[in-house]
Formats: sequence, structure tokens, C-alpha cells
Amino acid sequence: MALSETTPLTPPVGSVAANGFDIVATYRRFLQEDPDMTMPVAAIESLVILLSQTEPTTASELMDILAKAVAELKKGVKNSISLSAGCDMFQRFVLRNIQEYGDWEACRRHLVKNGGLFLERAKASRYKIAELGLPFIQDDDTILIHSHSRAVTELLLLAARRHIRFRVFVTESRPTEEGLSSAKTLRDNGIPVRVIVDGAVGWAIQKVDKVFVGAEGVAESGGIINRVGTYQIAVLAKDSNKPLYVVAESHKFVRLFPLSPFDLPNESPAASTFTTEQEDDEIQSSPLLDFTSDNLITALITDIGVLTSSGVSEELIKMWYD
Amino acid sequence: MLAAGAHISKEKDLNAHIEAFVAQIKRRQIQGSYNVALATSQLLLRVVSAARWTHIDQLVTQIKVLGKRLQSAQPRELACGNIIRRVLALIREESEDTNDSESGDGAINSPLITSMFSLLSTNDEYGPNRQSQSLSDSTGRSIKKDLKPYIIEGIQELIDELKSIDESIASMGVEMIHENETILTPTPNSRTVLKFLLRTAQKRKFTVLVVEVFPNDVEKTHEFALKLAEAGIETTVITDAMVYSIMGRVGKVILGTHAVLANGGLLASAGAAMICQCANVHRTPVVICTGLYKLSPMYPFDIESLIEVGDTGKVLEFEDGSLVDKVNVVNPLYDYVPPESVDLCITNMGGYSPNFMYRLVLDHYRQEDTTL
Amino acid sequence: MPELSAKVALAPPGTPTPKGQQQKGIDKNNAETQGAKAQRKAEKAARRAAKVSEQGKSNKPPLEAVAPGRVQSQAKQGRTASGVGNASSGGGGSTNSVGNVTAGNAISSLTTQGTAIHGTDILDKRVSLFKHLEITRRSGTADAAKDIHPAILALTLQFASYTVIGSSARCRATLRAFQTVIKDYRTPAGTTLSRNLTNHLSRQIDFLKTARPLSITMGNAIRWLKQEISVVSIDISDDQARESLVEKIDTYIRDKIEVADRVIVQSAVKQISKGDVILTFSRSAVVEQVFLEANLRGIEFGVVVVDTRPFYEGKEMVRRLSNAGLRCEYVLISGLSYVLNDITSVFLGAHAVLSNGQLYSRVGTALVAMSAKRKNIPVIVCCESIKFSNRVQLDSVTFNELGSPDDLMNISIDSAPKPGPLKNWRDLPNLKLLNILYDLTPPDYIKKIVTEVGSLPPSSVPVIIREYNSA
Repeated sequence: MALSETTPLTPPVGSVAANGFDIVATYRRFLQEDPDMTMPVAAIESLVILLSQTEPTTASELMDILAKAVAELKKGVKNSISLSAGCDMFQRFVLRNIQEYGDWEACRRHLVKNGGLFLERAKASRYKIAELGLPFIQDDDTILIHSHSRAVTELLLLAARRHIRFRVFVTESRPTEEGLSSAKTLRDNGIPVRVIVDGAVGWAIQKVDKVFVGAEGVAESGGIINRVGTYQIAVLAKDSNKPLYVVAESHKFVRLFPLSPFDLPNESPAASTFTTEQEDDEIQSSPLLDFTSDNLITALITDIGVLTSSGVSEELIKMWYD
Repeated sequence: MLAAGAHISKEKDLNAHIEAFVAQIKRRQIQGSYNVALATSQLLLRVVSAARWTHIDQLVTQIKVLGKRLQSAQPRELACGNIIRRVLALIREESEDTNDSESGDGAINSPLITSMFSLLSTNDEYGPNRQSQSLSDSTGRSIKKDLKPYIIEGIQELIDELKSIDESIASMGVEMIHENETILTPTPNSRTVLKFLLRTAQKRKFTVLVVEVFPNDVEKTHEFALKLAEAGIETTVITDAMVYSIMGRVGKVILGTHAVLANGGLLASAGAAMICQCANVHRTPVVICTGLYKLSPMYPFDIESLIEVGDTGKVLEFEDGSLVDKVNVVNPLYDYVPPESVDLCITNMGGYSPNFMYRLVLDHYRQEDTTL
Repeated sequence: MPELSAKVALAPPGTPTPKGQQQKGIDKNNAETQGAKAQRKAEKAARRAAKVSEQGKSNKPPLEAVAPGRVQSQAKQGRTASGVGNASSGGGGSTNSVGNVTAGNAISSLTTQGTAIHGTDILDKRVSLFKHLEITRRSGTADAAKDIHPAILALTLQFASYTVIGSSARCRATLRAFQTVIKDYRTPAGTTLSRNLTNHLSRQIDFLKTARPLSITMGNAIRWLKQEISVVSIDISDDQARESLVEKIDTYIRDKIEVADRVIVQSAVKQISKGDVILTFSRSAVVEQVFLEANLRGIEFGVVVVDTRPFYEGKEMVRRLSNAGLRCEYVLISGLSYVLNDITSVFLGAHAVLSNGQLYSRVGTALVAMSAKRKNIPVIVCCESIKFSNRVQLDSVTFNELGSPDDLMNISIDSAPKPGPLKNWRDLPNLKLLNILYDLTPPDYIKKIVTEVGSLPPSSVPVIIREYNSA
């Protein structure tokens, strides 16, 4: 079904790829057309479209085309961590299949044929997460969420549908102010919400029972890369001994091992320069992502179960080292 | 006809036996998670021996129903459900093994192990529903006869494992305790810890501080101290309140558990949470000794519901009538100890960080059995 | 060190140490001068009552039964002790000064107690880590010197049996007893009151110490009293001097304890608001008054009393609070984490607050404060400034008070003793029971100390000591 919607996508004019296919534009179009689609899934779907339009003659040519497209995608998109999780997994999947069965052509056909299925699956995995995470929410809870996360929203909406009564603090999440859209969605569904500015988390944390955050990417250590502000919320939660749960799909597990936010690719460089001049849109150059290490995270609620940090690294190890 | 009659009477026998067992655990006549685990596995041995099934799913359902019944009879005794889940996993495994070897497509099914790839793989080739599929369609008629002895053998092995648990844990003592070390134990009602210390005392000389965990099981606690002292171990009994003052001189805290949960957290006798926290503050390592049968695939969503409350008469004498009426007396039997308070879990399968307990859960239980 | 103390303790009864003899010599003169026979009779009755309850508690085995194995096991202990003893003395430079103070106390109590018969078998079973602490608990006054005032004899027994317990209560009782002592005091010929009364009191104090070590409050009060005595003018008559001292003691008790408590209550009660659930540990007189005052003011709140073996002081607390109509919950310390979830704040009393901000209080207090801190529940200590001490200490081992180990063998939860499986614990050489009375709560677990001179963080304790106690 989703496949029929996505197939009309034709390569845009002025494309840069070898065969006239613009991977970045395709990726952007996916994200624009479906607000529910996550970045890694959009990346995977774009790569599938690419495969459907190329006719490689050898396995290594196939891998080559993929690698080029992935590099182009990572370069062309500002915030590439999340999408690189999808790309990495896709490449790894293709390589594994080629190694196991030798039949790269069958693998390509299989992927192209099932293009839309992945999107469905990705959405389904959010429902699964919501089901797994449901017992974490109890009557009379006060929950703090940060910014906007589809997985967290899905979980809270499910809890509300199951008649669990709870309240939610939502951070404004500057500079994107995505928290406002979370608040609207929750309120539209009858969940009482209080929006607070990011700086008010320390004020609110005493009244909070548990914290839920999403993730752009889950690193190999089990730490998470997420919308800026997550780290300071996690530190406050740890200090007050409140549990912090990360709600994220397993396709966001990414092969990165950052030690600090400065190890992340693509951070806005302007943010770490200092000037005596007044700048007009200084706030806009503020960093968008930060890194929260695993020792601040109580558990990760994913579609493959409720994991500890070593569960995450086990999944990544299984995928990459065999 | 005759055979069928014999079968019916046998079934009656078994039902009566199950009935009696349920009553026993309900009234707490079988006490301690070890005894419950052992009794449950022996019951399952009888159930499987007597069971007749045309399809393996029938056996699975039968055991699940039984498990549900046992669990509701004593919801806080997790060992019971754990053994049921272990046996279920065993049955599923046996039936899959047989299927794979018969249908010969096991090779195609197995390689894409990681669950993250489930996003990309599809039903027609390597579907995620493989397990339930194989259970439901491809079971050959011949399998049921082949399977039974294997399952029985599996349960028998489980029983043997249970019986040797304390031995395998105790053998790790020398790796844990050094000469002249001071050990503190806040769970002196634990048989596993007692054996662990007694066995280690044959090779090492050390001091044990026994915390009373008053008021429950205080007789047992004091007998525990007596047994240690009689075995030649330097033993000192202290009250619960003294733990903080002496923790700075303690080398390791060793505790037994009531149950270990999937996140590596555990239930132990009341006071354990505070004592482990105290050890954390003093940077004293906390080691737990536990048999695998105490490992539950559950996650501690609602901690209070897991904690049993005991007889308040042990806290305040009923003779204090005027007081008992006015004051709300509380006597919790267990404490929930969060995984971050624990440094090491010693099981009969070896020592693990609590962070890794999820792996043992995945190894021994099937996700589809988590809720019976 | 253990060998030495054992030897002293082993000296057969009836061979008093030289110092003891000397004391007796002086006594004779004094004893004749004190003719308060009627009073003595009354004290005797009190003493007997205390003795009976005392014997019920400490079920001691006969001395003969212990004697044969004694020497051997002592030698053994001496060896095992040295290892652990060394470890504990490595506690850092700042504890050294404390160590000296402790040793001083120990020696003085040893000389008075050297002849106490039952000291020997308890020494035998001491926990090696705590061998530097003396067990000073006595059960009789037969060996008392003649110049020990009957009021002091009675008080000593009340201390030993824990009938008078709690640092303010002990301080007040001591001062009251001193008032009686001073009233009955007659200066011997050839000396002056300001010179001799101090000596006379010192002997009373030494005897008091044979029951339990002095509390910090008592120490502070005694220091003040001695100072007052030393400045008594030689121009006034003894009668006048006695009267003035008795009056000064009255004022001291009123100002330092009674008025101080009222001020603390007025200040601390503001910390309680409607709907609060407040946790407290054991029993503190001033904390109890805070709760009662809040209740009188009509604030609706609940109290959770956490208690511990072997004294169960919290029972008295919960009885008084519930009688006043307060909503109370009672739990033993093992159930602490279970009740902690709904707590809004923790109120604690103190035995003493040390100069480095450490709270020295009933054993278990540190666990309660630690658990509360972990849950971000504020811990408030209510404490009169008379409890401030310029001592410093870092752990609960270097200085503490030992209770009778037999209290642990008793597994009863009410007044009737019930010996558990450990009743013959003395027969097992490897088995020991440890009963220490206090522990040390580090300052970072404490949010606020409420005193009569204002509320302060633990780090400001030395300021109070300098500003107010020296004045």
C-alpha cells in the first residue's frame, strides 16, 4: 500500500547521482510527505528506491552504489546521526545476505519488492514499544518528557487510551520549540499537560515521578544522542533519583561511540566560537543535539524489549561482528 | 476400554496432586523459593509424564494454564513461575529442534539472528513469526512420541541443576573472599549464603558480621550465626541499625535473594536496600548469591506490589493494646534492591554483572511466556 | 594494649588499686560529715528496683563457668585483634586527638571499675574492632566509696539500667543530683569551698562514669559548673555560696534546656505544613515537642516513627504522639525503605553535634539520614546548643559507647526478656555480639540544624561553639 504511494517518485531534474538519481532530495521528500516517518526509515526507503532504479552487474558494484549514495546522503543532510543508523543497517543487511547466500540479485529484488513494508514495520515497532512500555506508566504519575519524540508520544497516547490517568510536564525545547507540538498532540487526546521552559526542569523535577525521552540515535555504549537539553534533564533526574527511560526503535541503534557531544558529527561549529559582537540569530546557531551517557539512563524501552545498556551493545555487536 | 479407564483414574490422581500442591503453596506450607522451585519442577515432571497430546501446542497450553493457577495461588513466590517458564522454553526448544532437523530448512532460518534486522527481513524468506509458525503447521505426527522422553529428560536435568545449585555457587567463594577479610551479610536466612560461607571457610580465614534483620526470622538469623561460629568462623552479630557505623571496615557485602528481576534488580529480606545503599556510599562491593531459579523475566514496574507485608505482631506486641489500635504498624518482609546497588551476581552459571542479567533471562526463557 | 587491660581486669576482687585505697582514706572523713540517713534509705529503695530490672536484662553466666578457658582465648584474641586494630587506627591524622581523649576516659573509668567482678568475662568477648572502648556498665554500688552521695548512687544505677536515657534528660538529672550534692556539702576544715567542692564533685562524676561514659551535654554542663565553683568568692559564706550555686544550676537548666527547647520548637514547627508525612528515628524529647506543638496548632500531618533494637525508645515516642491524637505509623529500621516513599521530611534529635559537623546520635540515625538524602528528602536536626562539642571525629568506631552484648541475645520485643538461640553465646569462642549505642552521621546528609540560636548548616557548628559556648 505504502509502496504504491512511493513508487511514483521519479528522479528529480538536475540530479547528481551517477544514474541521474538524487538520493538527498528523495530522502527529504519522504520526510516531508509522511510526518510519521523517522529519519532512518526514510533513509532506508530512499536506498530502496535507488536499488530499484539501478541495474548493477556484480555484487561489489551493488555495494559500491550503496556506499556512494550513503556518503552523499550523510553529506547532504545536516543532522545525519539518525539517518546513518538506517544506512548502516541497510548496507550491513545487504552485505550479510550476499555473504550468506551469494545471490545478490535475489536480495535486491526482495528489497525492492518490499519497499513499503519497512515503513509499515517501523510504524508497527512503535506500537510494539508502546505495548512494552505501558506497564511503566501508572495511575497518578507525573511524567516529564522532553521535546518531541514519536515513540514517546505513541506510548503516552496508548496509556491514555488504556484509561491510565497521568499528568505530563513538557519542555519547550528551544530553539526548535518542538515541545509545543508534543503538548498539543497530548492535549488533543485528553492528557493534562503543563509546558515549561527548559530552564524550569530543575524546578519541576521534585514533582516528577519518571522521565521519558526519545532518541535520535542510540550509541554503542547504550548512551543516547537526542535533542539538546536531554543531558541536563538526565543529570537532574539522576540527582533526584528519578528513573529516566529512553523510548526508541531498535533501528536507531547506531554504530557510534561518542564520549561527549563534541564527538558527534555535524554539530553547528558556530556554537563553540566566542565573540564580543552582538549577533542577531545567535540562538539559531545553538547546538541541536547532545549526548547522554548510559549511566544516566535507567532502561531503554525498544521494540526488541526493555534493555539495559549492555543489551544495546549486544545487539550492535551481533550485527557487526560475527 | 480398559486402557482408557486406567488413564482416567491416572488423570484423577494427577488432578488431586495438583489440587494439593496449589493448596500447599497458597497456605505457604512449602516455604522458601528453593523448595517451591524443586516442588514445582517435580510436579511438572509428573504432569508431562502423564500428559497426552496430539500437538505440542496442547502441552504448552496445558502447562501455561497450570502455571497461571500456581501463580495466582501465590503471586509473590516468583520461583514457581520461573520454573514453569523454564520448562515451557525447554518444550519449545525440543519441538523446534525436531522440526528443524526434519524439515531441513533450519539453515535458512538461522543466520539472520539479530532482532534489529527484523525491520528488513520478510515473512516469505525469514519471517519473524517463524517460531509460532513452526509450532503450528509443520509438526509431524511422529514427533509427539519422540519428544516426551526428551522433555522429561530436560526436566530431570533441571531438577539435578536445582539440587547442585548451592554447591556450584559455593565453589566460587575462594574467588570472592580473601584472607582476613571482613564480610557483612544482611540476609542471614539464606541457605545459599550459609553454604557459601561455610565452604569458603575451609580455604580462607575471615570474619563475618551477621546483621539481624529484625524482627522476621530472628531465630533463624541467630542460628545462622551459631552455625558459622561452630564452624570456626569469627562471627559477630550486629543489629540492623549498626550497619552504617561499621560499614567502613567491611570488605564485601554478600547477600542472598528472594528473587532476581530482569533488570538485575532483586528482592531480598527487608533492610537489604538500605544496607546495600550504605555499602555503595562506602564503596564496599555488594555481591549477591543466587540460583538461576530465582531469576524472573519480570521487570519491576510496581515495586510495592512485589513486597509482601508480614505479621505486625512481630514489631509491636499485641499486649500493647492501646498502641496497636491507634498506630499503624508496618512489617515488610522484603526490600527491592535496584541493580545499580549491586556489583556482582554469582549464580550457578557463573558470575555476572547485574547489567547482564537480561542475557540470562533471554537464554532461559521465551519472551512469549513472560506473561503466563 | 588488649593484654594490658585484660590483666588489670583480671585482678582478683578485693584487691583495690592503689588509687582506690587512697580514695577510701579520704572518704572516711567525709562520710561522717554527711548524715542524711533518711535520704539514703529512699535512694536504696530506688537502687533495688533498678537492680532487679537490671538483673532481668543481663542474664549473666556464673563466673566459674567461664574461668577455665578464659586465659587461652584472651591470648588468641590478642593476636587476632592486632590486625584489625591496625586497620582502624589508620583513620587519618585528625582522629588522633580524639584517640587521646578516649584513652584518658578509658583509664579513669578503668581505675574505678577495676574491681568490678563481671568486667572480666565481658572483656573476653569483646569485638576486636572495639577493644579500645571500655564496658563500664555496672550493676551494683557495693564497691562505692563512702563519700559518693546517695543521689549520685541512685542516678548511677538509673543510668546503668537506662531508666534515665537521652542526652538532655541525663544532663538535667545530673544537674539536679549535683544540686542535692551541693546542698549537702560541708567544706572540711582547712580548705575552701571553691577549692574542695570541685574535687568532691569530680569523685561523684568518676562514680557516675562507671555506669556509662558522660554524655556531651553532661560534659558541657560539668565544665560550666566547675567554672562557676572556681569563681565563687571566698568572701561569702558557704551557705550563701551553696545557695547561689543551686540557683545558678536552676537558671542553667532553664536557659540551656527548657527555654532552648521552646525556642527550637517554635522555629522547627514552621517546617511542618498540612499534609506532610514526617519521619523520625527513635525518640528525641525536643522532636517530640515539635510534633506535639504542630498538633496543638491544628496542622494535619502524619508521623512515621522508625525504631530499633534493643532499647525501642521509639515506642515511647509513638505512644505519646498517638495519645495526643497524632496519626502515627511505627516500623523497625529494617522496613525503612518501605515507608520512605511518601515522606516529606525527616526530623532527628541528637546526642551531640561535633565540631566537624558530624551528628553523633542513636545508632541507626546515619542509615535513616543516608536513605532520606538518597531520596532527596530534607533531614532536619533539632538540637540544643548545649549538645555542641568541640570534639572532631570521622567514624563511629574510634569513639563510641558499648552496651551490654546480652541485650542482643534477648529477642523479645517487650519488657519481658526472652533469650533466643544465642543464649549460650559465651560458650562459643568465635561468636560475639556487638552492641554499640551511637553512630556518626556525616554532615552532607543533614540539610539544617535547628538550635535555640537559630538554624544553621552543619558546617557552621564551629561558629556556634566559638561564639556562644565560650561566652
